[in-house]
Amino acid sequence: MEITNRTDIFGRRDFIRIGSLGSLGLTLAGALRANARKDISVILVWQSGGCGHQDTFDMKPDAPIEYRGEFKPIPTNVPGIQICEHLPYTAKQADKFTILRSMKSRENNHERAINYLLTGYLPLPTIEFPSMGSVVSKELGPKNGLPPYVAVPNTFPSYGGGFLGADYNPFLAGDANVAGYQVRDLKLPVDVDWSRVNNRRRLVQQMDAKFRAIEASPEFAAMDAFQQRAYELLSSPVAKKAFDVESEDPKLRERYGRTPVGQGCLLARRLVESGVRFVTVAKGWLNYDTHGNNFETMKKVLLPEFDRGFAALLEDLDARGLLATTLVIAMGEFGRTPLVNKAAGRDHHAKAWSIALAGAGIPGGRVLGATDKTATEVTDLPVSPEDLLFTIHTILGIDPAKEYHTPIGRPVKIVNGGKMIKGLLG
Amino acid sequence: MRLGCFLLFVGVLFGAPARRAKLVVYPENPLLFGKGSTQRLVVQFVSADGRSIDVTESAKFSSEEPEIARATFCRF
Amino acid sequence: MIVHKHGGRRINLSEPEKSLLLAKPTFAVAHGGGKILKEDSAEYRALLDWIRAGAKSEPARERRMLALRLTPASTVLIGEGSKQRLLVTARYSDGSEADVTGLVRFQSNDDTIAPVLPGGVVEARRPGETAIAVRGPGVVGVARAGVVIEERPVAKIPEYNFIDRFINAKLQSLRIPPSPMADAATFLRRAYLDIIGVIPTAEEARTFLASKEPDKRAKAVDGLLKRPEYADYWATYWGDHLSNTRQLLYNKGPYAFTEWLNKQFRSNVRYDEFVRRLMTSTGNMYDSPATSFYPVMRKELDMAAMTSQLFLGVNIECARCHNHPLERWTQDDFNGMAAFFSQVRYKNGTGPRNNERNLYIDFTRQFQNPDTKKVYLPKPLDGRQMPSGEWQDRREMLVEWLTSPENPYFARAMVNRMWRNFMGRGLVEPVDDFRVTNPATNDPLLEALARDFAGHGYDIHHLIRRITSSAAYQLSSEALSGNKHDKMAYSRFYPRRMIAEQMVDSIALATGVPEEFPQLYPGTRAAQIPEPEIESYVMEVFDRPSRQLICERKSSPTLNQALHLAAGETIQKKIAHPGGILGRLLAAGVAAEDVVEELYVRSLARFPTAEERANAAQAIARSKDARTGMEDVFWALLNSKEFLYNH
Repeated sequence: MEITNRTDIFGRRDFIRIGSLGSLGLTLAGALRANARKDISVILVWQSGGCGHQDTFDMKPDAPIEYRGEFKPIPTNVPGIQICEHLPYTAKQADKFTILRSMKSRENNHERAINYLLTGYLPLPTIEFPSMGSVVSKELGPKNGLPPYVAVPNTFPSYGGGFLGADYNPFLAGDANVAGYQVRDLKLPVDVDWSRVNNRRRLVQQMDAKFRAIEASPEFAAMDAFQQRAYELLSSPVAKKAFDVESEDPKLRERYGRTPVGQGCLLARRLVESGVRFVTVAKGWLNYDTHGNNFETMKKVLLPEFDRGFAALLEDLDARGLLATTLVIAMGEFGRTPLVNKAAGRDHHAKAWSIALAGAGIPGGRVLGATDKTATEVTDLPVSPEDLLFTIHTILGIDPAKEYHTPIGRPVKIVNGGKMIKGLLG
Repeated sequence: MRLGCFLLFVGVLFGAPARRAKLVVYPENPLLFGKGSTQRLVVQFVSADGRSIDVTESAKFSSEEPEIARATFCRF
Repeated sequence: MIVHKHGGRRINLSEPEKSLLLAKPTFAVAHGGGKILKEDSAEYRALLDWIRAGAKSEPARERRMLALRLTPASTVLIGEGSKQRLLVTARYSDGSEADVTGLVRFQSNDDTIAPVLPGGVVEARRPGETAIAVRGPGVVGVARAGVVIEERPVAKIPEYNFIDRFINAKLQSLRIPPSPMADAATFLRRAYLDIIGVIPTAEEARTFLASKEPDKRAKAVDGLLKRPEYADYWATYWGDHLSNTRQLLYNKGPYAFTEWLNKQFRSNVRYDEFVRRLMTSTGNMYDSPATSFYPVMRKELDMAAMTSQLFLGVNIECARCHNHPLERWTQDDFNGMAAFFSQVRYKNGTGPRNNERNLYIDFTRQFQNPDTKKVYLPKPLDGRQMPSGEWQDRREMLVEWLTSPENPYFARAMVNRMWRNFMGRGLVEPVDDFRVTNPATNDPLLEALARDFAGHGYDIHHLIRRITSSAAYQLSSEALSGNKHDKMAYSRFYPRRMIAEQMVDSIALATGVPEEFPQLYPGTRAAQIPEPEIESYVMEVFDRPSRQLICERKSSPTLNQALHLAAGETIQKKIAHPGGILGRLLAAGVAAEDVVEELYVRSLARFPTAEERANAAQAIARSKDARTGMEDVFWALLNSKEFLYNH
């Protein structure tokens, strides 16, 4: 019986593959089956530029000062787990997430490392791989008339649909922290009311009638369809409501923090609540790239805004019963060098770093993987970008080995190999 | 190994009058290596205006030198 | 078991010389299920032949398959369901040949047009043409199959130059009727967008439409080639392809490179010279911007892949990791190309110029593959190892080979790129995927264009004149029932959405309100933006590429685009702008009817029809005031497909 059900969800090939994972065996398959039914959404809190693991989730208080840096660890609400003193709110939510201290990449360059971590492929100059958000968008499709993949505030290199095409690029939400936030172009211009819209659309239809006769191309059809969806979205109460961060209780908005990251997290919650499948929340491009003045920047800006946003997101999702159906990931493209440099900064370090994962059946209050005493090398449970993407897609009920074809017909798997992260699902 | 040339005749009956039409046999100059080796043939009818039709099925093959190469009928 | 007798050599697609050729399919069959072998099957005979050959007392000699030939090489099937058999003949290294029709796998590039049934029988499904490929160990063979469903005589297009002869030949063989010639207004708008990347002004359109000169189309093209916008447009095109972004070039690199590119096209540099300047550049990227061709991040293998892709239209990326079983390029080819770039080194400047990287040539440096550690000597694709002297910049050797008139790929790749720009679809598509199993849709035409281009000194202006003066370029995009599905024979002009720069600059021109790019000088046109890092939502949303990868512009519609057109500021702000064209016309007291005409000419380069004038008048009458109504007409014009598309 068990077997029949599993094959229903994953198809025969996946059943075989998952079955062969051995130790994970039935628990995993059971959890995944549940997820596929539950419609898991993803919120990726993106630390663009690479966040110092030894300054956040993998503190090394016993290392020499030139390695451990200025920050001190504090206890969390889970006995035995300590994190950085500048993450006090997050420390109170430690029972809700798992710290994975053993990420390991092969790319030390931002663009390439980001591309690698978001696509599951080492970048090539000749082929653009789709990001995981685009894959999720393609595999799960839109729900409630909302775009399936939304980027807050913006899209950045490697976010896109790659060879899958622009259809799977993220919908851009903009900065939710600006006063009177509105998603871009989701409101008619001042002076243009619906009667004018109707007048205009009638004119366009008259003009296009001749052109439609010229060519019945799929592109024209897609354009008309998007136009239709655009007007639906413009007049849709669901969409308006989903993006309406301003309607939130000011106290809750405070809890998330009045920063682009904090309000972005809040918007992300509203979006997954309304049916968006994948939301990225970022401060901007390469903000965590602290080659100089690492501790000041982290202490004063980066950590506080992340801390409030991330902690409030977990608490809020949990309180609303959404955490079980939302996979929350906090990560950047690599860690930072253990040895502090002359400019009081830390440089790029791809050999080891930490990420945090919560929700979607991932038990909280745990630490997986480990690094050595200076946080330089992974000593336990090395996890590659391929492994991470394999795991994320599997949790969502998407077959990581499914093949797409590039426009020139080259078969490309969703993830370039990879395996399930051992123990992540318990 | 015996080497030799052979000529193959192909005839097709057509109802329609063929104006300067031609029959083309593919491959054009087959070489067979090793006794008992075989080569399939395809016959195309090419009309004066360039249209071509695969007429292999209705073609009759005969070899001028059956000692060197024999034509037999076989379905694909 | 049979194979094992010969020393256990297994079949290795990646190293064909080591595999036992014909044994491959045989072995596969024997391995896969010996029981199903029938005595009269081709497979059985092949096995038998093979065993016989092996039974001879000669030492097991390896014969390599050199080529697979499909016959007939090109065929046109007439009538739905009609069939044509294909034969496959293999030629081997020992001079022998064999009929391997039953042993190879056939693949149709488009089996909605003509699939291949078992045994190599091609069947006609829908009109068009496709390539049929077969593969053997390390070799491929290809044939073309056209499908004509409806037999009918079709008209010919006028033959203005040699291009039209080849187009006619294809249209005739596939019985695809051509659309009629495009009218003058359509031609003008098309030529402007394709040559200088922006629509004509109302005045230019009026002058052209009024002109009675018989050669006014050719004259218009000549004029466009001299325009400054011409250089902007092509600097943008090559900026896309040459990674002109600060992500790769740092700081102000893209500004210097853009200016350099602009200069090349302003002076109509010969294409071979253009490539030579890029490839043999040295110095720092500010004094010698052509060195931007070599971003520091890119290593030898990347340069090999990019050079092949850009200038040969060949994608050898697959060979980075493994020999491609279907294609001819091997890892050795890839490494041999990479070896041309081994001498490229950088050093940092000093003092105030310490952020400048200088490219210099380390003559002694060899290329060592980073994974295998093996050292390779320079060898061009499809060429011989090149002996290099002690003080030889290897890149010069590569350029010699690249730009030699004997190089079959160089001119073809470029004319194909240009053909795509003007005709909407490359003769080989994608433009950087030339390979045996992806043949050109009209190979004789591609060949003739390449010869013409090389024969005229790689003169880009000549190539543009050649293409735009053909009747094929001047066909209407209006489809006929007989050619609406045609996507490869150029029976009509294929419409395509304007790229971001064309759209933004055309909207600015039509409305008389420039687009603002806060980081650049006021009045800067979109086509003059040096790098994709310049913020602009409208450019972003209409698929401006990040330029970190080489790719052609996309034109697939998105939701953000539709929203931006419907409710965004790019159009609305400009049509409502008091200093814009509407404001100016109304201030001058121009009558509503004349305003509508002016808006049509500015947006579409043509006069409105009587019906369109009536529709506009009605819309204006429906509105609360004339200005509102005119704005709505203007808005609709700029949102119409006739505006958004180059057609």
